Amino acid sequence: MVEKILETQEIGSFRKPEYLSRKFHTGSEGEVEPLKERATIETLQLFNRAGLENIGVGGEMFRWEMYEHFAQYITGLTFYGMVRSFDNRYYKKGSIVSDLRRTSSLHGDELDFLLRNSKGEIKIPITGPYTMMDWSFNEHYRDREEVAVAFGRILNEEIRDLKKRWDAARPGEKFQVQIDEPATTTHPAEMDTVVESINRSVEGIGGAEFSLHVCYSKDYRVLYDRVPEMKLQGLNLEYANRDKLVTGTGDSDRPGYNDIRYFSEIEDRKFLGVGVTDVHIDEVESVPVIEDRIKYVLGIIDDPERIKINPDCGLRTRSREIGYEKLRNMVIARENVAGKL
Amino acid sequence: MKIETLIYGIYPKSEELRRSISKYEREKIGTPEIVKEFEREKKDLIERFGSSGISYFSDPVLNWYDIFRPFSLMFTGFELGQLTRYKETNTFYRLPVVHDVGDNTIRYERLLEGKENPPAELFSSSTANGHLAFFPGVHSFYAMSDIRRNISEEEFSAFVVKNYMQIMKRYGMRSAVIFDPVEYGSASLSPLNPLIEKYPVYLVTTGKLSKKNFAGIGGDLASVISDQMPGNINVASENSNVPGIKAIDARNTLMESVEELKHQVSRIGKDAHVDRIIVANSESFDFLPRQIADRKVEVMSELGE
Repeated sequence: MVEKILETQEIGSFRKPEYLSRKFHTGSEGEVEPLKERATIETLQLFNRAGLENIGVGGEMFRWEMYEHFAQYITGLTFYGMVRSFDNRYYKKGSIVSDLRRTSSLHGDELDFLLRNSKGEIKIPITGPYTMMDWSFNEHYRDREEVAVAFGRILNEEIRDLKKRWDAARPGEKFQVQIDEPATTTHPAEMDTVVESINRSVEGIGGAEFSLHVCYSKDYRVLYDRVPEMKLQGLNLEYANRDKLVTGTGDSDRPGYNDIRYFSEIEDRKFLGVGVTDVHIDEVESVPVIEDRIKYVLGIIDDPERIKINPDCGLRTRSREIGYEKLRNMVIARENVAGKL
Repeated sequence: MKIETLIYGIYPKSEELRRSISKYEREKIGTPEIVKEFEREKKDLIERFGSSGISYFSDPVLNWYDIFRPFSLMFTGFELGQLTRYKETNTFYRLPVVHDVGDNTIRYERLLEGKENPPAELFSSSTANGHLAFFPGVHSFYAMSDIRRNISEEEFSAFVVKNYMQIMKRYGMRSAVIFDPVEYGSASLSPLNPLIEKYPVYLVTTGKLSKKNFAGIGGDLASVISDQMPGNINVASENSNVPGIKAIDARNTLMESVEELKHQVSRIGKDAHVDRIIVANSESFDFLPRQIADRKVEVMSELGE
């Protein structure tokens, strides 16, 4: 159960400072690790100045990209070369050539650092099993479902590992994990596989709050329909990019937020993290616009304990300055709305 | 059983060319240099396809950022929209936004502007045997665009085909491959008639085919190449000179076996009572790392031996 009302959080990534991005792939481990730590501290300070309640993992400074990071801790995956995502942007897409196994913790060092350096509320994003499957070539397993379940097993191991570290450092405090699944809903016919692999990821792990982040979906209803079956406590989704940048927008002009009605008819217990600022534009939404969005959602889900407030997605495509401004306005808007409840 | 091979679509670039594009984007090299690099790599690929015995190959269109990009830039009344997911993949294309289909002036100069697409000509000027123009199918172009002003598919198709004819003439192309990534449903392919009547057209389709799709086609299609679904090869062979199958998976690095492919093609041909089949890739090879695409081309060249 969510204890706070309209809790502010970020989704994951934040723009890396130039001193880190320049060296991330070219520096030695001895050179890069201190830079990751410094960037994390600076980002945590920025998040605290903005007033965020949940500081995530300080902007994912220990990670470069959500697929590659996961993949480097797995055996059974080989990389033949870069694959194009769009324009002249490429990523390393692995080919599964044998049984997938985790070699060591994906995010243990990041979490250990955070636990030593922050007392704030933390939510750990981890790339989900369905997305890892969808973004890999498969030369080994029988079918896509088998691959997704294999990744689900690895995630389960990882989450248990992280929870041990958490429980040792913060006994009794809430352990939070966000499973990042951008590929979910791209294959509507595979929602059984989505549900199965996500549930496999969290199976048998008690005393934790699990959320699912899915961004830029064509149709969230494909997801909403299956939410009751998912062993999660909430969803963190995006809506701001489909909304107008003015207050007083009517129902028909805000297809994203309006569709939360459908969610509310299907699910009455899980929380919803609502994207209120668009991460793909530099324009910083005004406080009144964000307040308007929050109030609109409260008109649909009238329990503020079930609503969290976040950007649509990670803020790494914006400059650090713009990212800060967006988070700051988000927090101010939240405080204004919460103050009148 | 005679097996022919056809490669179509955007081919993955070499690492060297990718780096040059990055340099171009950062203004470390200029337009003439990057144009030369594209021409050189295209020429190498075309020579390699030809000399390795690939029967037909579309221009590798290395400089296209997606299959619609150059046309959205060149066609009057079209503009580039937002990044949009390509079908169910983790690859994105710029959504063509279509405001008007009244003016068939093609702005070829936009190909060399280099702002939204690397500068180079649409097609190489190769005269190699088997070298084909490459176009996105009009049905898919319509379905995957943002169409404004209630423009019908019929109007859109007529406009685009007229432009394709102009392009064929300008580049001196003698035949074309047209690729539809979207299933036809009950759509008719008759808007392609002006092209089919003048040029050999190799049509690469997606999903289930039906006879209705080909009703009203005026001439002979050189080939209809389809997914391996029940009935498709029969419809393809009834409506083209040579049917084909998309047997080389461009979405997986798993390497096909030449022997298994030969066996598979033989069986398909026997069942469909045809003695000549074209084997093609399932999608642009650009979904694969370059070294895997090159190895799949080698497999295809052995098939045709």
